[in-house]
Amino acid sequence: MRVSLQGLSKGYAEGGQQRVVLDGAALDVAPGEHVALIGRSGSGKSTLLNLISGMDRPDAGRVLLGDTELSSLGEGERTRFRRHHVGFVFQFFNLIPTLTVLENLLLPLELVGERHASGRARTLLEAVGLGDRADAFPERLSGGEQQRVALARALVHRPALLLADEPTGTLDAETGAQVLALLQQLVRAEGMTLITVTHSQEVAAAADRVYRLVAGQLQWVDRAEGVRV
Amino acid sequence: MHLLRRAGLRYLLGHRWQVALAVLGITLGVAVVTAVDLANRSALQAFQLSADALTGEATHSITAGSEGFDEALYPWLRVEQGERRASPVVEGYAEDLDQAARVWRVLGVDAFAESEVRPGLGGIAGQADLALFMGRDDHVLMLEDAAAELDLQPGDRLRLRVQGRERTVVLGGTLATARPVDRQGLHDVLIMDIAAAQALLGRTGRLDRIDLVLPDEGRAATLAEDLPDGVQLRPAEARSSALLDMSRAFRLNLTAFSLLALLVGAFLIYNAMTFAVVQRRALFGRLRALGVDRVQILRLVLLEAAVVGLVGSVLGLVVGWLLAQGLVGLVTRTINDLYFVVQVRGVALSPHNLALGLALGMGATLVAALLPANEAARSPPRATLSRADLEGRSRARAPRLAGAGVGAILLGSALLLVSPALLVAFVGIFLLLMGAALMVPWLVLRSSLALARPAGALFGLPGRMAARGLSAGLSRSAVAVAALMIAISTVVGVGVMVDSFRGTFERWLDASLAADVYIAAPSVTGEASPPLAPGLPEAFAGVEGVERITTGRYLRLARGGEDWRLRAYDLGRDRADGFMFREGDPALWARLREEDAVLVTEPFQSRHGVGTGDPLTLPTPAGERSFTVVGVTYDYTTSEGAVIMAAERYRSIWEDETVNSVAVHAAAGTDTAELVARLRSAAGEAQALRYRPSAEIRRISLDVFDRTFTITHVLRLLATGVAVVGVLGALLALALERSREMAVLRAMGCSVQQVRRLILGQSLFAGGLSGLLALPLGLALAVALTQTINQRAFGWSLGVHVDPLLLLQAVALAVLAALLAGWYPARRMAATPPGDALREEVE
Repeated sequence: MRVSLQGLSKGYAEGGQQRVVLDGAALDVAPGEHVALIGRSGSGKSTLLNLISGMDRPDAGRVLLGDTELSSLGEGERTRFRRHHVGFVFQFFNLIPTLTVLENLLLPLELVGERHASGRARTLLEAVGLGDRADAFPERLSGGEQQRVALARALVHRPALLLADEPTGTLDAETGAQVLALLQQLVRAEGMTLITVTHSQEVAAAADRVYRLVAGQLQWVDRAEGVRV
Repeated sequence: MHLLRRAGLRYLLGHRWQVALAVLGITLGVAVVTAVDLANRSALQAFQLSADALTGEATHSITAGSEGFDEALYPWLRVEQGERRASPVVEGYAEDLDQAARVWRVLGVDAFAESEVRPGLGGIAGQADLALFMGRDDHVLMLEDAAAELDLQPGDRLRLRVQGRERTVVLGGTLATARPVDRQGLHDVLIMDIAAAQALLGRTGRLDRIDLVLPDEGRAATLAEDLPDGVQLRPAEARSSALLDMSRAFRLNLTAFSLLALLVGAFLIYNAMTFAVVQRRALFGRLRALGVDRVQILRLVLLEAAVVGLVGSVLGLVVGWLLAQGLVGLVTRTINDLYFVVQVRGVALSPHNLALGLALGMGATLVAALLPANEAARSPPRATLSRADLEGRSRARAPRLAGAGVGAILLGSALLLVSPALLVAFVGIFLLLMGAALMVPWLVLRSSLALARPAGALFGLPGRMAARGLSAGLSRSAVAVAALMIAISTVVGVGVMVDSFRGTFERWLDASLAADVYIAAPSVTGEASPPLAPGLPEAFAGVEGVERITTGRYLRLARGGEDWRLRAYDLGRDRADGFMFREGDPALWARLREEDAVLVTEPFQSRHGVGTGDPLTLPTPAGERSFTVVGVTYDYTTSEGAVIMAAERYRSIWEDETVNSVAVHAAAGTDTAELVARLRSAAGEAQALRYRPSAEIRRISLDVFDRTFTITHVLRLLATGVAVVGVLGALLALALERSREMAVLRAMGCSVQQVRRLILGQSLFAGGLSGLLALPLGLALAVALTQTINQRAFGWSLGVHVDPLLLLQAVALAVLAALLAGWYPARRMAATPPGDALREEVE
């Protein structure tokens, strides 16, 4: 899925004043491309992901996902669009504690009306190496395991766009590397577009292009000059 | 300010909604307890003041039941016995026809003797025109405060209804009194010369009592020996304490219900404080890492609770005072209907109320906060304890709590079954409720797991999440379910109790009201009807359309410290049809006519422990006489109990032909209205009488019944209100804790409606579960209330009548309360942009 951001602006009221987080940010991501967003804490990376996913609306500018202009849709339509076409991986895994591992994977399928596609869920669980933990509840899993489940959950309904918010941020280096490899492998295999927010050199290095968010705008980072995250 | 305390108070300020709900819970709890205490106390105080003022300095009273004694006893006492400090009294009640609902106590006294006994009335001789006071039979005196309040001047007329007759009296003058006790206690008293009062009250030649100041108990003992048969010497306070004793069970019941509201309020505090602790578990961990010790953490949480408790208690006192203004009317009306005449003029908060309200409010708060405070103090240094660990611990604890709950229920049941004391029975009920509450976490856990699959099959994974949500947040959900369960179970328990009582009472009324028309002279509430004019029963018996009449004679016999009620019926036949027998049968009546045999009512049996076959000694004009109890009848008119005798026997022993009421059985095919008209014309104008068809008596009796239970309904409503607030708080806490989870669902594409449905589904589950658990608990409560509490408090046995509609309503109420409580969190959660919730730091 092609992602096109045009002149995105977003600000928040803070203590009676408006704080501008995004100020005319623009970006084009080709279908199947892997883009990493870097930037200092508070630079607006997560805000940008929220705008791309349609969880939030820009104050100005357009978000185009494929042929759909997300920013012009209502709340309900954006939700339905996200349900079908976007997958999310969070820094803190955010698995649903009241659902088992397998049920966490079935949830996105159920939301898109594929109630009986448990085969796909099980296959993905096997793929992330957790086929034997299908009936466990998330609280029983280690951080790395939880993030692998989160990854599988984000991919299970075959979204065209995967958004990842610091997917290895809370993991140790070795586990982070494993999760990253898995992410790359699955995303490439499915031909999905991937936009990752990260502080990690490794994650940024694995991306096709890297952008830095500075003063509310996206700047292309020339990797020939080295990536400082 | 200490930084820790500052942090704690800032936390409270930052969580205003949560704190407001906790404050509201304790406010309502304290308000209900304060209001009931105030209402009870005001009624008691009014009674006590009037009793004290009327007792004056008297140490003893000479009495002889409701019929009093010959006035010749007074000169005998003064002259032969040399008792100069003695004052004769005739008293009765009069309704004021110009002041709705005002009942005067008419006190006939000897103006000269008063100063020796009652300082409050001692000034009659000095302040009133004695020639008028003693010379005329329509002169009354009242306190100057009372006259000023009613804007009456000397010479003004008062229209009274005394024993069914309208009488006009003249205010001859006013009395000033120095003592506050007299000013309040004599406020509703009309003072007359004794001879005038005898004429007004139809007590010519009789005295109700003589109040005496005796030097010591030795003199009292010798005087008692010398008194004629049927006349007794009692300590002055015996009468008022006997009256108070009768209403004690009623007042205790009210207090117990009010404490129930406080109990539900305590659940709210527990919930709020648990949430406050859970929410800051990481913070406490960090503080511990910084070197804050456990005692400091414990103190911090308890301090926060104390602030909440103090604010809630103070507000509760204010609300309670307001509530009491309405409640006191209900309490005094019931006391007037059932026990004695009392008029309350104002409800004021006393230091006692303030202390009680604050102590209960703060106490309940601190006890409820102790467990969460302890939990906080045990936080390990650093934020290592995850929410999952915490809930895991609470799940692991559930079976142990359930075990303790079973123990509490067994102990409570044993207390209810074994101990005869009313207070112990209430402790039994409390244990029953607490035991059930302790079992709730385990029950929530099991049912949540059991329901997950069917809910999933019906509503998909969101259904499963809703079901499992309760067990996932067990530490919070169990409290909400328990609070709602307890409130709903009281709705069921008290509802079934009232239904059962009403059903039993109605059946008894239907059986007892066998005649068609009942005739009696009107009386002031709580008092027996005055005697009918001689010859009236015979006149009624001769009226066309009358098949037969039965008569009733009601009096009180002075016996020990009490006045026993005696009822003598002339049924005109050998069978006591219309009586419902607990022991014996209607054919026993033949024995009552021929032998010294009596029946006793069920409350008499339980108060005095006298049953079939036991001897019962009654004071008669000819001295004490032994009767045999041959049967026990059900009777719901008074919890004092009564002795029932055949009139034939009564007349021959008491040599008294007086009749208080006539029941007319109409011949078949007689029109009741026409019959009443004929009966009226047969009675003539001799006496104002009330002619009541049995249907009217039935309606009036049920009205009094419903009035008595109005206050119960009010208290039940308040307890439910407290519970709904509790559930709202708990569900809000649950929902807020899961805001991130809901945001993830929104990020994954769940619609606002789906998230809303999920939260409401969870509320529905909590409400449904509370309602279902409340049914068995409510029924157990109903059995305890009808079979134990009522039996011990009033001596009445009641059949249990369960209306399935009431049970359905209770479950519906629980579900509705939970849905109402879930509505706000659902709305709030669905309205929160998921991006905001996801941005928040996770702990």
